[in-house]
Amino acid sequence: MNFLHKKWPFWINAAMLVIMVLLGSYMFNDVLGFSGVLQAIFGYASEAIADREIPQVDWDWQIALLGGVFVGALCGSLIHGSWKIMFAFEDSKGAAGKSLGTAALGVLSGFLIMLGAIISGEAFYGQFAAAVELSAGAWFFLLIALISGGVTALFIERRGASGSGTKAKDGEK
Amino acid sequence: MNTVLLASLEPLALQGNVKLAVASIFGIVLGLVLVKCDFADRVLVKKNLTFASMKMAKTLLLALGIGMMAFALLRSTHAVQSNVTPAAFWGVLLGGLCTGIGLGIGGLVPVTAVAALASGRIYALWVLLGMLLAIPAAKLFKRLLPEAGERFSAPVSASLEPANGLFALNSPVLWVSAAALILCLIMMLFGNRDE
Repeated sequence: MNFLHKKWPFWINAAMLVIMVLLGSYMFNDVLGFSGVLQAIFGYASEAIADREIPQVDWDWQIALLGGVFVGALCGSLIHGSWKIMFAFEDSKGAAGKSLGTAALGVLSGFLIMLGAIISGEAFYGQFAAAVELSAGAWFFLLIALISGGVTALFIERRGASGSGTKAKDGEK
Repeated sequence: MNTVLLASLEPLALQGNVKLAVASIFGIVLGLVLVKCDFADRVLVKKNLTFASMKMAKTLLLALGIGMMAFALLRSTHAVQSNVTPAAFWGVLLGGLCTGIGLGIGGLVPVTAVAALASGRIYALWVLLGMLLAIPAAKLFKRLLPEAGERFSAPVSASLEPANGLFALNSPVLWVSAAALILCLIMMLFGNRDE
């Protein structure tokens, strides 16, 4: 139980990720990916809205997998002590930032990530699993995603820092 | 005896209700792993993207370096098969760019957004809503510009398949894995200390 409470060193994280990909490939004979599940869920939601009744759900193994991820993450965060109700992004400031800012940035980031997943064929975790399975395209995707992600995160961080710096200067006046 | 054992190995390829049950259990373990690896914590993910911390970079490099070799070895015993579909170059480029910018803004991808929601981060619902909104947008784009898909469907020409054996000098897997592991080692020796 101590193993579950403590933070894992990076090499255990890496080993666990590899084991999950290889075990998934062995058990399901398929690449583990989640963009297809979300598209299926969207399809069911559209059907429910259009027909105004609960649609016939085809209980695909990937839906069961996603449900398991939810339960596992819930248990993991409770054991780890990181479970915490939060409605706004941790780094958002002010009432507007916490409400509108979180909503706008959350929707925008989710939109871009899913768009990227549909254009490239698979979401981030699926691309990681494909990279382990020797896909050159997946390696290329991960490289582009991590570089552009890093640049974007740095840009946002610098913009936030310069914004608070300007306010401090105005305050000094 | 060993030859017979190796020859009989093949992917389990579960079916039916057994597959559903095993997938649920597998998902539970995966959810736990994602939380323990801090992938469901968007603040730490963004910190790692800017290299303020190098733990996730080391994790990914080590996982990819060892994972590729392990996969190639297991595939030679037929315990696993490659299920990867060919990727289009422009699709991967544009998709990677969109995903990266989205990741830099929000710090969450589909599976980690679900894990974050389970960890009490209600704001992950906005991220999931954004993901669901992208689906009809992508369908609309495909309907309005059907020739775009055909024009930009040139496949990625590079291959990581080891043509002359996994440990041959011209094996791409060997070189890419070695590069990933060396980069991981450099980060371990000269990078920021893990929290």
